[in-house]
Amino acid sequence: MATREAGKKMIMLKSPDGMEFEVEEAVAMESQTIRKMIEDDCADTAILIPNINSKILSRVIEYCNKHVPTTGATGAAASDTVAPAALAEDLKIWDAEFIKVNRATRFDLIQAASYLNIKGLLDLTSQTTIDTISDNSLEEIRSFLSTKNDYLPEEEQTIRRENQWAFQ
Amino acid sequence: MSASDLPDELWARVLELGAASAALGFRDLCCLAIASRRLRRLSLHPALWSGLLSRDFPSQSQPSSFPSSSSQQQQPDPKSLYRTKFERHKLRMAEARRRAVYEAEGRVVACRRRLTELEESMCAEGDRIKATAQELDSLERVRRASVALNVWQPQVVHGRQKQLVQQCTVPVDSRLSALHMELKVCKQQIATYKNAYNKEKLKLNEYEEALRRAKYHPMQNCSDTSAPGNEPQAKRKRLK
Repeated sequence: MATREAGKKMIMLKSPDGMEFEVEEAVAMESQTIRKMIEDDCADTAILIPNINSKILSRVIEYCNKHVPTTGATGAAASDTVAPAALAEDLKIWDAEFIKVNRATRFDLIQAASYLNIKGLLDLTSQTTIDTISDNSLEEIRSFLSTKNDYLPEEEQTIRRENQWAFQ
Repeated sequence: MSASDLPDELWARVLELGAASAALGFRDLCCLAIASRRLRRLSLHPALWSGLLSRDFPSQSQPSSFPSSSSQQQQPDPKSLYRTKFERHKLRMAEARRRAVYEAEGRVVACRRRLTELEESMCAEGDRIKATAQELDSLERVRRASVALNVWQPQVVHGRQKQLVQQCTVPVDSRLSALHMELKVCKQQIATYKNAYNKEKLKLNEYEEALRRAKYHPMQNCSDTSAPGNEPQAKRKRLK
């Protein structure tokens, strides 16, 4: 990438609550949205990221930092010699640790990943959410998704009957 | 932010990903449908069900009566289509489900068995430690006696110690170090067993959880809604 030649070009990301994060351009470009902004030259040095508060933004940056292709200044040669499989395994473990957050944060992360268009993060957060749904009982699903049962009792009976076939 | 604040299209994407990765099955989608109005609407998305259709009924996707039905009107919605196919292959599906339950049960049983085995090995190892410690103790006494022989002592004591040393037929020093070694090995072994035991215990929890889910039936819990599923999120299965 061109950015490598230019040394570490830094980009300033601003959250709406006034925090500023200085990150390497390569890291910021993990987000397709930001990449587009940079490529279209509509970002000079500071980019305001709307809708994403500093707490979430810092986590997103943490993710991008980890997932940026390892060609950075820190021992490019060394990381190239590590077997890619082992590296991927490491990343997986890191991801699993990273996503151990409370539900609210997870949904914030989903939204942030979607807005910033970071596929890896979106997949990771979605998959984790699915895991909380799949093979879980109704009550668990409701509590995991903090969903209120908004059916009327007789309505719910009908719906239950409608879906009974799946559970015979 | 909670799940309800997540916009529909994101939810749709999440569910689609789940269906594509085979993590969400028809039971999950039906469960979602019962959970709330919004989740029902989301779970009815045709793409999800057509995905399931081609996954679960790959062979008979559209051999029969396809041209006619498509010409007379749009196909019925994929969920009811799925249901029709499901009913037609009920036996097969029920069989698969029963197998899943059996497998889950089998895993739980095997896990329990491994746990008892580990317990037994731990017990055996504990006995060995005790025996070793005992022998170590008596040898230590012999060693002390043999050292004490070198200094002057009253006749009675001297005689007793001499007897003690003479009775001992093994080379004390080498035996001592061997015993120390064995003690260490035993301790290590026990630590290993404990480790394995804890891991197995975790697995057992996981398997029991899986079994409970495999057996789960929302209709049966219909009457007793007193048990809300508020359990810790900690155990999540990605442990493996």
